Parts: sequence; C-alpha cells; structure tokens
Amino acid sequence: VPGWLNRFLLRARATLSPRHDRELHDELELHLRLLEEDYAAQGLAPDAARQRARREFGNPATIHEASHDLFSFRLLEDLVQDLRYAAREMRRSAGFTMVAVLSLAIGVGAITATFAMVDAVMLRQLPVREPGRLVAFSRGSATEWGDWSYGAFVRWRGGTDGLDVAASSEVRPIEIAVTGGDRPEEARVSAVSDSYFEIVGANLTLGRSLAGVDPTAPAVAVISDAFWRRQFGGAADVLTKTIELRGTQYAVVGVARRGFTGHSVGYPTDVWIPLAMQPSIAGNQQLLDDRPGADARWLKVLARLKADAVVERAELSAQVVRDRFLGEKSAHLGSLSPEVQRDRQERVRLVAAATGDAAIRGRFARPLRLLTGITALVLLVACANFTNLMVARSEGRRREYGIRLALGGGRWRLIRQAATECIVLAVTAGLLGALLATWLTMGSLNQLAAMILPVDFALEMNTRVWAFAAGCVAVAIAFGIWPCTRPARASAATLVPRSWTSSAQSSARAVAGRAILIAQLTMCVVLLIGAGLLLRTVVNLRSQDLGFDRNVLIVPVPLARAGHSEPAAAAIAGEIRARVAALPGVQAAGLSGSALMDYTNYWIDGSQRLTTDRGAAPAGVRWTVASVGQGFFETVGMSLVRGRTFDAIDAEGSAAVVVLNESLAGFLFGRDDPIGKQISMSPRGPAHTIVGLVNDAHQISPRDRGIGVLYLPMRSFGHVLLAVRTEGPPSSVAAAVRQQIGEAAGGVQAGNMRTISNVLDTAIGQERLLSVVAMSLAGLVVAIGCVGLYALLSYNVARRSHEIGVRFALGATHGQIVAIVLRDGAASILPALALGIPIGIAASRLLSSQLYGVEAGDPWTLVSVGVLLPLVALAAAARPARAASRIDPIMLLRNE
Amino acid sequence: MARASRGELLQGTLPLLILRTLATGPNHGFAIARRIQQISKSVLRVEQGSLYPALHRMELDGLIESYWATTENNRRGKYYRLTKRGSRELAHEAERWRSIAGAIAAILQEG
Repeated sequence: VPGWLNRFLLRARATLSPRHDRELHDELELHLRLLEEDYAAQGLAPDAARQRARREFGNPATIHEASHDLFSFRLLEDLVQDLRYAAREMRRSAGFTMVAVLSLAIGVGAITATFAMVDAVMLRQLPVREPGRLVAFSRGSATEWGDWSYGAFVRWRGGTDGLDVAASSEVRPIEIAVTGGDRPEEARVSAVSDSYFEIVGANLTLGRSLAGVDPTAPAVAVISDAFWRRQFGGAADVLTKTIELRGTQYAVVGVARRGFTGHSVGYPTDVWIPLAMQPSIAGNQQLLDDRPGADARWLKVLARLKADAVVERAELSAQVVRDRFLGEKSAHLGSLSPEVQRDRQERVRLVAAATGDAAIRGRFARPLRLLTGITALVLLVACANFTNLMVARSEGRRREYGIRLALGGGRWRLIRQAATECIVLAVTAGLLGALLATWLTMGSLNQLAAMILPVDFALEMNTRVWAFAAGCVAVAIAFGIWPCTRPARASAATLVPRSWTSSAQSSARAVAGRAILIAQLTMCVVLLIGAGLLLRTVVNLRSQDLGFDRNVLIVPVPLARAGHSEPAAAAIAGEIRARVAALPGVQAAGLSGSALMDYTNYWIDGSQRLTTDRGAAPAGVRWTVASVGQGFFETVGMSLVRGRTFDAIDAEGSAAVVVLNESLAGFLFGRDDPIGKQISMSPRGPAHTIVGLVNDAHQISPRDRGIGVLYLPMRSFGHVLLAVRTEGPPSSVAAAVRQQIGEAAGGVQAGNMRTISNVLDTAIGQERLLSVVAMSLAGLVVAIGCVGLYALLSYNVARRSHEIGVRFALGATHGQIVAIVLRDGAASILPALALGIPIGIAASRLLSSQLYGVEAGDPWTLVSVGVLLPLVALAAAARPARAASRIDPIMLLRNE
Repeated sequence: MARASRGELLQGTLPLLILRTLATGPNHGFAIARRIQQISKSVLRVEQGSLYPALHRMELDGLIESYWATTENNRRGKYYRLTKRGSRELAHEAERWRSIAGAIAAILQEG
C-alpha cells in the first residue's frame, strides 16, 4: 500500500467512524490506569497514585487533540466549517446577499454569453482534423473567401502543388421532405465536391462520405448529426432512408460527426449533396460548365496543405494555374474583354481557414465589440457592488475578529474563513451566471442576432467559454477578497473600539464605501449616456423621412432560381407587374433590380470620376448605381423633381438614359438644369442622357444621406423586387399578390413579403439590437447602483442614529432630518454625475460611428440622464429617510 | 540548555526507540513506554503521553500498524507491530545513528 493511500484510508476511517474517538480515549485511559496501578503497587495511596500517574502522563486532553489532528483532514474540516459559517452568514443577511450574488451573476452571465458569441464568430476552430492546415482561396482579401467558377476549381484541383482542393456551394435553405421522417422542414443544404469531407478532415459517425459516388447515380446525401436526430430520431437505419429535395429523391449514405456543420460560420449545414446535383437544386445547367467562358461564380474553394507543403509555394502554384486559365479565357473571349480585364487585376491568395468562412464576421465585429464593452461595464459595476457588500460585512465583524484574535485565535485561520466566504459568494454567482449564459446561448442570443442577420451561430458553452466565466469569477474574487479579509489582517487592538460611534475608523470606512458607490454610480451615468444615445439613434433612424412611403409592400421574386433565362424573365416580370397592378385594392406596382436599404448590395464609389458634358466631376463625390424598372418611383412614393421617369421604351434598352437624385445633380450641375445633359460613369465609358431628377431617398441604407444615385433602367430580371402600393393595409393584398406571382411565373415562390417599414427595421437591426441590450443592461446597472445607495444610506442612518436622536431632542423638525439623509444621498449622486458626464461624453465618442442624427455630447441625452438618475436615487433614499425621521430620542437614550 | 538539548534529542530519537522496542514483538503503548524507560535508564525522561502522537504519526506513515487485543491482565488494549516498511526503516535509521555516533565518538576521542 503506498504511503499516501495508507494515510488517506486511516484518516477516512477516523473521520467516518464514530468509534475512532472512543478508541483514542480508551487507549490513553488504559495507559493512565496501568500507570496508576503501578504506583499503587509501589505502595502509594490511591489518590496519590492517580496524581502521580497524571503528572507523569501529561494532559490527556492535549494529547487527544494532537492525535485527533493527525487522524483528520484538517484543511477539509476547516473548510467545511468555513463553508457552514459562510452559509449561515448568507442566510442572516439574505436580502443583501441575494442582491450582490444576483447582480454579480447577471454581470458574469451577460459577459460570458457575449464571449460565447465572440467565440462562435471569431475564435472557434472547425471541429476537424488539423484545422490549422486548412486554407481557402481568396481574391486578394486577407480574410474574405472568394467566390469562384467551377472551371477555376477544376483546374486548381487538377494542378496545384501541395494542396488537396475541395469546393462547396453556398449554404441555402431548401424545403426538405423526409420519407418516413417526421415533418417537412426547411433545411440548409450545401453542394460539395466529392472529397470534401476527407479534405476538410471531418469524420462520419455512420456510413460513408461523398467520395467515390457513382457518377450515374449521384443523388446521395450526407446529413448532419443534428438533422439526423431531428428528423430520424438518431435511428441507425437512416442509411436505408431517402430525403426529397426539389422533387429528387436522395439516398442518405452517411451521417457527419456530431458538431460538424460545415465551414460556414452562422449557417450550419444540415445536408450535403454532391456538386453534380447543384444544377437540379438551382435550376441552372450552366453551373458545372468548366469551359473558360462560363463565369458563374458560385463556389467557395478550400484546400488542405499536404504534409510537407508550405503555404507560400502552394499559393504561387495556385496563381500559376490561375494565370494559365486566364490565358485560355482571353484566347476565348479576347484579351480586352471586361471579364479578362477584371480577372487580371485579381491575385489569388490562400488564407487561413481554421475558423471557417465567416462572411458575416464583418457585420458582427463592431456590435460584438460594443456588447463586450457594455457587458464589461456591467460586470465592473456588479464587482463594485460586491466589494461594497464585502466591506459592509467584514466591518460589521471587526468586533468579533478582535475578540477572537485577542483570545489567541489564529490570524491565518480568520483570513481563510473570511476568504472562504468571499469565494463561496463569487463562485455561487459565477455558477448562476454560467447558468444564465447557457440559457441565453440556447436560443435568445440567436434571436437577438437575427435582428442583424438571420443566422444560427450554434452557440455553445465550450471549455473556452467556461474558462472565461471562471476568469470573471476570479475578477470578482479579486474585488471582494481584500476588503473582506482586512479586519482579519488588522491588529486586535484597533479592532475593538470603545464605542461604535466614537470610532474615527468608522467614518474612514464610510468614506471608502462612498468612494466605491460613487464609482459605481459614475459607471451608471456612463452606461445611461451610451444607451440614451443608441436609443436616440434608433428613434432618429425610424422616424426620419426616408424619401419613400413606409406602407409599400416589397416582394422578392427570384426568377433565376427557378431556372428562367434572361429574356423570359424580363417578360415574366412585366407580366407579374401588370397582373398585380390590376388587382383590386392595388394602386400601383413597380419593379426594382436593386435591394432597398441594404448597403451590401451596392458598391459605393468615391474614386471613380463621373464625367459629364462639363468634363470630369470633381473628386470626393460618393455615388452608386441602382437599377429600377417601370413604375418604381411612383409606386414607392418618390417624387419626380424634374423631367420624366423611365417608360416602356427605356425598359427595352434602345436608349441609354439615366435618372439622377437631387444630391448628385446638385453636386454635378449646381443650380443648372441637368435634363438632357450627358453623363458617363468612367472617363471613356458610354454616355447616358439624363432624363429625370428625383428626390433623395434612402435607397442604399437608412444611414446614408446625400449619396449620389444614378438610376438606370433595369436590364437583369433574375432577382426582381416587386413594389406594391395598396389602398388599404398592405397585408390585405399579400395573398392575392403571391397567387398572381405563382401563376405568372410558373411555380416561382415569392420571397418574404415585407413593407418598407419592415425592411427598415431589418436594415437597422444592429442599431436596434444594441439599443435594446444597452437599455436593459443600463436599467440593470442603475438598479444595482440604487441598491448600493440604499444600503449606504441605511447604514449611515443606523450609524448616526445617536446624533439624529440628539438633534430631535434639540428641536430639529422631521423635514430637517429628512434633509440630512437626502444631502447624504446627493453627496453620492452629484459627484457621480460630475464625473460620469465627462467620461460618458468621452466614451461615447467611441460610439460615434454607431450614432445617427445625434452627437456624442447630445444635450438632451445628458439632461435626461441628469434628471433621471437623481429621481431614481430619490426613490432609493425614501426608506432610509423615513427610517431616520422615525427615530425616537427617548428610546435611543434609554438604550444607552 | 541541557534540558533543551535533551528534548531535541528525544524528538529525533523517539520513533527510532519505538521501532527498536517493537522489533522484539508487538506491544501496547504502556509497555512500549516502560521498555523505553528501562532501556534508556531514565536518561530519557518522557512525558509518557507524548508517546501517543508519535505512535499515531508512525501508524499514518505506515511504519507500524495497530490492532486491538487483550492484555496480560485481561483488558482490551491497542497493540502495535512493525510493518515491513517499519523494519526497513529501523535497519536504515539504526545504521545512520551508528555511523553518526561513531563519527562523534571518534571526534571526541581525538579531542
């Protein structure tokens, strides 16, 4: 038996068995008895013999104690004792404990949940073999994965040194019916090249991957673990089942390992099908054309570095393959063709793909940074609150500690006991916080994130997130442990004051408590200012004049997705417009090729010079191009300032015409009439005749004002937006519109119908999200601050009850006493405002890129905060003030 | 000074003396204490009770083990006996003491 185990067993026996103590006692007793008998035998009287034996043996109690210690888990026993003590103390001041623990829990929970999001979007690596050796092909960007044509992929796969190359289509939601499955559902489907799973390094739990699929029967699918559990209940016979996608039956051949949901962050894949099946999904046979002229860019290309390969060499090799392909292309299309010109400018780059394709990373980076900042502030306030609680509690215990020290209690033991309590509180709060974060990550956060984009981050509480939460708890402990062990570290003499009120120390303590409270309230002010500005931003964005009406219905009609070719699509779009316009209750219908208020669809250029009759426009004008069809301006309620809008002849494309918005016209032509002037988008580009002038509208985004827009007649009808102006509420015609689209376009499903007002809400999703979160967290922090204020005021009233009693006795009125308490409160609030407002102004400069129609130092926000906080503080002061005014001097003096 | 040095000596040697005593056979605390006093001819005056923490520490260290048995005058007593590790420890410690004692004796003779 190893020594430690022997020790452990003996101690465990001693601890668990009630016999051990008795045996110890018996053992010592026997010795004493034998000694006594010895002396009796030597002829001593019984009393004398006993005394002699006792003297020779020593104090049995001490020996017993020493042996007992040997046989016990001393540290453990102390710990249990400390824990019990802590629990008792927590119960005794349940209210205050609860506030401190809950606020800390919310602080920890909020920031941990935020971190789980940061982790999912920024940090988490794909759950694959050696993710560090995965690379993706980009078009020169250091982060963004490029979109490539099938031809480019095939050539790379065939000829790049040092790389195994795979490709994948975008992940798209498709209605799936499962034979023998529970219910049809919209699943995310991605088409991938045959060795995708092998190259990415994702294992399967069941069946086989898509490698070596029979080319004559390519309708097979690998499904994700989550989809398997959802649709098949995790049954093993799934490999005999099929699923139906867009009318084709796919045999399920494999189930991917749990946790692997493809490489697209925010878009977890449920079903993978072979690349060869993409045309049947997308309704476009051109996609798999690998000849140099075919240029549909729909693939993400990723690769695994071979064992001995280095990324620089592989990149060079990829570039060589690309150049060769461009050579073919220019032989085919002519070296001056715009495609070849464009492609020549691009350089292939291999970028690290370990954390997956996060096209959405850019959209979330800033909101996540802000959220982290806000939640960090909340945690800080909660920690300050915790410090205050610990100060109050340990100060209340000075007397006890003093006595224990004076009686010879171990100082280390006292410190340990105080620290145990602090740690128990912080860990309890941490666990609650982790619980809160888990709950948030299970759904609410995705719903919040969906205000920005409808994504699914597959958030999880992994080791990294737990470690982060543990770090937060450590911070909280750091905040609490110094004040809570302070009395245990002080000398006994200073701990036992003669009288509670006369102690100079108690006022020093009050000062420390107040300083912490002021810091806490200052953070409240800062957070309130930030939240106020964000709220004003949302209000401004919502209530501004958009330049078009809000009640217009916008319906996406994805004609290309249903496989309609360009000329047919144009005819269908015209038909749809005519049919919908003829519906009862519809005032007008129009078409647009450009999304409304979605800046990701526009390329805003400040560098390219517009050229007019007057020559090149001065630099610095930001402008973009939108394409709209007949009736668009009228339908969405934009107003024609001058000239005309597009007519049927423009739509056919016989004349190159353009409509400008006022900003652009003003910039280019000043006060002159631009109608009839010529404009081209590059110095030697084709000229367009300006036929009309419309008002500025928020075409590109709700935030952009004064961006020049060139409206061109729409030429491409693959993805059309139908705008519908109705007489009554827009929802009343939605069903009829959907039906007309279905009939006119032969099976095309109209997309998500929304009013412009809804579109606006989506467009400002990020701002709404931030203002909601900031407001609720600010409210929380203010609540915590008020509890702190309440506690301090109550403490001070209790401390000064003697003084207040004397004042009453000397004739002070109730009003005067209440004024004392209110002054006390003001002494915390006013410094907090004085500090918080400048800090808030400075801090909200960091926010300025998020703000709209409001400045960092917005006086309205500052005034609101300056009024709101004292009002809330007044509510917190009410009870202590009443308590003070009820102090009875007679009772007080009787107690002295 | 003399008392203190005797105490220190005792601290270091008590386990060794216990091991040596138990080498002749298992015994209970009182018997061990008396035997040590006999051997050391009262040079080592012990507060006899302090024997027990030492015994218990050795038990925890696995040098000796204990069992309950009936004493010669028919009482239940806790008996201790050497373990294998205890015998090894005794041999080792005894050797160490002998060599130290030898070295000190040699130095004293030289002086």
